[in-house]
Amino acid sequence: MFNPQARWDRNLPADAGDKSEAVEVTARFIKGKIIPLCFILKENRCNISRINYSWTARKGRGLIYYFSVSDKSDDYRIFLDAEAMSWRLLTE
Amino acid sequence: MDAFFASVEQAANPVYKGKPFLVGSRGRKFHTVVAACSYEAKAFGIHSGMATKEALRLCPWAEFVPADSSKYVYTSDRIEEILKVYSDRMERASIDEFYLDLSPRDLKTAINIAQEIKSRIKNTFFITASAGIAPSKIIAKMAAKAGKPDGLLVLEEKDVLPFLENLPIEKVPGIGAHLKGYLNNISVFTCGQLRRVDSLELIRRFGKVGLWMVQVSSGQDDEEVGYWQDEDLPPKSVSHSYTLAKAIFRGQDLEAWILMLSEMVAFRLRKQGLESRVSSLYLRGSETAFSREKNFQSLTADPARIYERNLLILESFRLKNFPVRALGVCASALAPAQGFYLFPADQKRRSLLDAVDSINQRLGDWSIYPAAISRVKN
Repeated sequence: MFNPQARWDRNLPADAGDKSEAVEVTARFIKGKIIPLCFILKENRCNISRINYSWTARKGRGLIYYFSVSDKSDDYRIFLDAEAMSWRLLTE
Repeated sequence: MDAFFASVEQAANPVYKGKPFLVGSRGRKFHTVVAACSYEAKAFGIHSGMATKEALRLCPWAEFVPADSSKYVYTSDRIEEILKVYSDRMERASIDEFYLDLSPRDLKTAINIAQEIKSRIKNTFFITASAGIAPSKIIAKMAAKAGKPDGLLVLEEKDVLPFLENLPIEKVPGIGAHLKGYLNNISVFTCGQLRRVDSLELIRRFGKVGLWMVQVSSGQDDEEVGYWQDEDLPPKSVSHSYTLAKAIFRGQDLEAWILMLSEMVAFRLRKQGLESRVSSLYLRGSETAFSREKNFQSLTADPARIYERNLLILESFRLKNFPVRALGVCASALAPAQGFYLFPADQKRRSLLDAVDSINQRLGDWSIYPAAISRVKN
């Protein structure tokens, strides 16, 4: 039976080689779900109009919650590192 | 799932919608193969497995998207959860292919379930899936493929032979370039023509594979869909393989790849409390492949020993200027780890591995690894 763990790149974290910066995010935690609402980027507030996709990945013991989101003009990828309790924005 | 990695990327990044793009290994834009591509890229003749260089030559403006396996594995795991609800017999064939045994339900119910699954996948993940309903696994797989994208093809018992009659033989999963070449040479291009070949001749020429071809061309396949609960049973073997971006020859790079795959195999063995007695190494070139397994006296889950065993196998191949395009390492004849060591050096080594595992489990895989792997890891 196929085992997804057998993929060698399964072992690479999704943000391997990517750069990220800390962002302030306002999110709702409701019924076990996390819904990011807006974040502050370079002193500008980006209101999230749509969550395009969300997924989780394990990094060591910690869990990372990824969100691909859009405001009215752009797409962004933000993630919550549950171990460090910090939100970050992928910049590359 | 249809163009799975590409569809997930389109769902996650709306900017890629309607555009030709390919998904390949992170950071290796010109030295990797296409893992998946959008339907817009397929229109240019790009397909999975093609070298990205070639793909970008066919469509220079195609975007290159680095593969993000966590996204695909997460999506695949969630889809598996959806499917488990419908039957105990559910088997994951690959990251984006599943078999579901819907017997003894009637055909109408099976069609309803397939449509429901398709729409649940579409509504939850914004990607499309194709399904095939047929009396056997292999015919269902071919039906699903024939219905792509977003299709649902139903083949009843009576429809199977007409479906196969004009189906090109290369559409049969398992018939690759080598078999296709042989069959084409004897003027066999479709499954219908294959069915009319003297079956004894096929069996004489190809043995078990010949018998399998006789059965498949007649629409027979006795293989049952496994139970998803069986996924929790201890594995019979643990393996890792990798297709290289470009051919490498015997030397430090090849040995570093073998070490990396041995590390991964050994890590999974230790994680499951297993040790292995048999090691196998597989090397594939552009035309030929080498594969050998060797039985050893002692059990081990130590990557260094698995690596040494694979080097012994490599030695036995007596390769000279053989360009390796893909390789695989497998550990089998597994048994529960013994947990005691006769010699202090073995105990010390085990403590070291436990410490490495604990660091990697705490901080993430590959936080710490043998320096020799750095040659190939990045």
